[in-house]
Amino acid sequence: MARHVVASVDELPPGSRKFLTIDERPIAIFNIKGEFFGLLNRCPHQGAALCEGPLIGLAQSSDPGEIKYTRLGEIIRCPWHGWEFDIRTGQSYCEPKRFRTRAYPVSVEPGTAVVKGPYVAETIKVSVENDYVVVEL
Amino acid sequence: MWLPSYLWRLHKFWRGIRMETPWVDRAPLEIVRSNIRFSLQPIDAPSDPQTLNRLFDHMQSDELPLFSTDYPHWQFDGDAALPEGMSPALVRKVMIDNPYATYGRLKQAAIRETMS
Amino acid sequence: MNIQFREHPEQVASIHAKTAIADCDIHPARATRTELHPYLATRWHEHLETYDKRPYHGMMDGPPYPKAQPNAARRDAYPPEGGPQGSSLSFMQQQHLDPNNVVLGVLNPLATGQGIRNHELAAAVCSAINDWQIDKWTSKDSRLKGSIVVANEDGPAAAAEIRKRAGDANFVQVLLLSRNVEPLGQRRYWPIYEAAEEAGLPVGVHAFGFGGNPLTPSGWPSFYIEEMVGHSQCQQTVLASLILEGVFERHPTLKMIMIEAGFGWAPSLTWRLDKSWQRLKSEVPHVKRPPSEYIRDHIFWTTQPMEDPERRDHLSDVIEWVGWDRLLFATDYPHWDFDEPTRVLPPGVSEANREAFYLNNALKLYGLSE
Repeated sequence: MARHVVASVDELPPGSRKFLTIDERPIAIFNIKGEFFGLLNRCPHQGAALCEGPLIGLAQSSDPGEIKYTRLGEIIRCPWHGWEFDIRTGQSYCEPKRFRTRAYPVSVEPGTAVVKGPYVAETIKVSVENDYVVVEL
Repeated sequence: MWLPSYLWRLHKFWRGIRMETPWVDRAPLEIVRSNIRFSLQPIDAPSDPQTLNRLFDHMQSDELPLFSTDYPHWQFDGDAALPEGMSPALVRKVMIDNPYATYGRLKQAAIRETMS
Repeated sequence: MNIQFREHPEQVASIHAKTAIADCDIHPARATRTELHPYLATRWHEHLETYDKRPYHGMMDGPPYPKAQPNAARRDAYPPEGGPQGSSLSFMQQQHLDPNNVVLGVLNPLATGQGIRNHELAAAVCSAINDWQIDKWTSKDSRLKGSIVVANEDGPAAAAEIRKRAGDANFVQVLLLSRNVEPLGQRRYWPIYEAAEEAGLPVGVHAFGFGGNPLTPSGWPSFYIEEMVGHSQCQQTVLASLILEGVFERHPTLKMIMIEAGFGWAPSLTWRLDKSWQRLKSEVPHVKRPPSEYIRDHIFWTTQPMEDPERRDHLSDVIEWVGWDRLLFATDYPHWDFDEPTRVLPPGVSEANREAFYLNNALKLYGLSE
């Protein structure tokens, strides 16, 4: 398990996402209302770039015609067949046990901590004044 | 016998466009298996018993078919209301167990009769 | 350096398919409203701006969009230069034809003049679409072949368009849609089959269309998902009609392709038709052979959306019953229900069957085998 510094917090404002490759794995990092998430950018269904899809809420219903719409922005919809995935766990909504993509823990670390290490060598210039987004693979 | 491929298609699309009908909170396959039953005739199956049994296997549930004849309609020939090649266990399910499980009052009527 | 950044999202490269494939259902799109104008007489430019196309569509004026995804297409298929998905040849090459090793791509344009009530406009737009296919697509990439789009409700005009294009190697089939004013086997459509057989061209019937009739025989369904599933029922009506009206008796060398409606339903429909025909053939004496024989001799199916049962051996059963030689691989690019070529078949399929499925059946049907 290695921790990678991927961006300064300013580079990833709420509602944005960043695409990168770490160890040849395509990954996307999201900032959703201040919380950070990381997902493997590959849909378990047919291999689409899952993380390029829209972020939506979760539609649930107990009665035909009634819809409760919650968890806004926490469900990512695959750009191909539209499968819904929970950004927190990477699980698909339709068959959570069978179909899931990897979710990676993402945290925010202050520059002072990052400077100390141990982090895998990266291209970001780190300064102690900023906070950084760190993903663990 | 059109049922398996219909359900495959429905399931395939449901996984992606579930949110249009979110009150469908279980896979349609499951809903059919728990809530829908199908009368047997007219059975659109081939005469070959091996293929027929594969088709029953495709349905992934032996609780779906209910024996029927469609009498007095002409669709089958005399005694051939039940296709050949069905195992005795399946025949029993289709002709007895499934109907009893589906029509709650049938069983009660039968019990009353045997007791009187 | 093991981290690389990308400024813009990029499609994850597909597992490069080493197998050469034929894609028998690609949908090219117009990038702008006026892209078709150069192929249309000037009077139609004004007409379209003022009156637009009026389809045969009961209860509503046109198809609802978006359909689950914008333009019913993959969200990652927007060309970088702008325009809707499927409107750029270069992007189609880059995203689909090249990495998926598509050596034959059959174009099935939609939103054309088909199903339009103004028959003169319908014929004009269809002809323009055919010119556009050559100009923008097939003359620029020899892997792509077009479909002759025809004014389906106007038999003579449709036949004329087929005859006009008959010798043109840019086209490999005639295109119809599965929803029409009447079931496709009926007399109204016979001039199309006559001209197609004369030209030695197969006729593809693609799901959807405008006929003014509900999708289902039981009325208008409420949801898009019902429509998506209903295409297979619709196509079954088409097939039954073609056989029982005797189209294949009249046209013994005509081939037809059921496009985008699945094929899992085919065995049970065939058995049912045979059974009914055994008993009811006195009603249709012109149907001289069991329906299953006509199906065997005349019908092909494209594979998308691929049947996806929980148990893969069930899929193998169905393909055995339909016939490995009757299936034509298709992706439906750029639509959202796209089938990724490397993911559709279960393991354990023989080399010969794989080659037939992915390429050889199409090459043979379209007369393109070496």
